[in-house]
Amino acid sequence: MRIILDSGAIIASERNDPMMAAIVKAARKNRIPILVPATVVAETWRGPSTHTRSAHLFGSIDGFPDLNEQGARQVGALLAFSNTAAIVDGNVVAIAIALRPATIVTSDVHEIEHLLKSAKIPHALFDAHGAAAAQIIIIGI
Amino acid sequence: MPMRTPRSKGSIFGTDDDPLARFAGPVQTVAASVPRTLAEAIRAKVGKREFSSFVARAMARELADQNRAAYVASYEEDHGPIDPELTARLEVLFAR
Repeated sequence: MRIILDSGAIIASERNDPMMAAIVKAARKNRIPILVPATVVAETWRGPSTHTRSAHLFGSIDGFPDLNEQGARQVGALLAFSNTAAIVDGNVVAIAIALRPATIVTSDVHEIEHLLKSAKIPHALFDAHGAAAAQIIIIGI
Repeated sequence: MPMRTPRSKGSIFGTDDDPLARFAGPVQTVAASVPRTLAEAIRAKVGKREFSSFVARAMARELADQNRAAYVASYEEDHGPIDPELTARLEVLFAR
């Protein structure tokens, strides 16, 4: 199991979302790697002065998968399947598919689910009780 | 047909979660005292040549773990305890 954070999760952390705090706490307890795609960093990071909480979070991250040519083609193929152009979301989903079982933490459930359905990847939503900004999508094995 | 995707670790996305990956760059020799029996157990496990990378990887993991603890502590200091029920449910989820 690996946890993949998308941009919504980073923003939720920046806003002190309780779900994100619980995710980090549970991941620590279970020793689950947390990954943030480099494209997500690019989309959310604007410097340490404005993103102190993100800087704090990034220190807890196990890896920042990059996007090389081969990976970019995989993302492009996924976007073609889904008829969308959200490169960062596509990158998050493509990484999660490659590493499944995985958990995606996102605030854009609709887009992530659309990508997963387009790729015919079974998944399930974690009931977040609707209170927090971040919701979790579980990708089936 | 489901989309064909690689599932192996270290795939086309550079997705390996090797904690050393983010610390790429020049290496530095450091001196640290560790119990002799621990050092011997590590050498027996990974061999002499992999000793440094084993130790470096363990250090990176410990650093990330301590940063996670600090992240959680910082949150709880400002906002109170994290919901234990939610945390427990997430632990069950992550244990799958």
